[in-house]
Amino acid sequence: MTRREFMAKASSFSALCVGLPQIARRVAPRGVVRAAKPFKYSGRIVPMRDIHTESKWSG
Amino acid sequence: MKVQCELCPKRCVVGPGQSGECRVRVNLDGVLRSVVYGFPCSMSVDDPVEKKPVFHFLPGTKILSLATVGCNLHCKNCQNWEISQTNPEDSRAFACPPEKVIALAQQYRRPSIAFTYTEPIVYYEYTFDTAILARESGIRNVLVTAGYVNEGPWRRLLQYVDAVRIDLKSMSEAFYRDVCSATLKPVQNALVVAKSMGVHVEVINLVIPTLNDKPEDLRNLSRWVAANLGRETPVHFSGFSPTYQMRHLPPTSLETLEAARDIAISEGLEYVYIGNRQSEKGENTYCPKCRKLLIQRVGYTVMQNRLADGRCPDCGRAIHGVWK
Repeated sequence: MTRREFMAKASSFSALCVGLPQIARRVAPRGVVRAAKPFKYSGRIVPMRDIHTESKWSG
Repeated sequence: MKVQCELCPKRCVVGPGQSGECRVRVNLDGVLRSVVYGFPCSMSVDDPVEKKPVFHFLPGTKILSLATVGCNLHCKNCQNWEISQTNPEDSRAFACPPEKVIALAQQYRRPSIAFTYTEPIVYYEYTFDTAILARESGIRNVLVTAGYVNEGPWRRLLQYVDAVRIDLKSMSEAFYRDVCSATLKPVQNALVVAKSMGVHVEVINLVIPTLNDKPEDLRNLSRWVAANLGRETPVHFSGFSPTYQMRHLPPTSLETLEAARDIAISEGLEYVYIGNRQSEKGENTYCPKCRKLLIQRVGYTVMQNRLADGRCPDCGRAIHGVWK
């Protein structure tokens, strides 16, 4: 192996060593437990009402 | 960028613009957001604590109850499916940040707050922040949940929780998979962890004809509760009513519920109740030692409470629960 060939292989190998983990980190999803607050509610906002009666929902 | 929600055992991988299975935890620009934080779809200051049902926790008191839309389970028999199985964008809600919830509880002199109706785990951050403020204000926190949550976030939340009422829907993995889109083991773990952390635990089992009403099903469940949570753990057998995707099944008969209660008592459980059906004995609390009536209930109403400092007034036995 010539010196030039050796340098080419070594640089390819080191690029793989550096690049593969970076790609893996980008592809793998980031784990989250606590979610952030919303910007705004996506549904319809209504005035608070009917809190003085027993709820119709179970539980 | 994708994010993975690590709150519940589903561990949803959520792509940009998508939500997890619960519909309320959304990946917006690579950030997981709880889009229902501070926006309950239902609230009541007039629910009796017995409606949760929680029978051994401040009996006869009213509890401020709230829920947002969403649930991480998809039970075919869900009684609240209109709010649990809907998207936030299709729902109506009102703004009520944690501070306002506490102010309402104080205004109406409610000793406790229930996170209920849907699934407090999916609005975890709202539950968590409200529970901390409630604890600081001397208000108790009650979770009414299916207990389908990962242990880490569950333990962090339970530090601020006084009581949990957890659905143990069946002892069958097949039931959890086919009826609820979930698994049994995390629920059992949530129950054991809550008990080990000193939180008051009550268990409910909705008895559904042909699906989980066999005597061996009920016996297995009772044995598991007695062995893992203690014989003193209150257990509620609740009657099913045809609803949502299970309108083809009949309602649970009172006889089946009474048989369930008898089985649980024969397995050593000390406080076993019947719910969703009128039942004289199945609604009352009796002393496990002398069998005298301690708390008489009709529906959600406490007719008399004979407990004296949490003890049977006749034989002096300490009765498990939070009484003041």
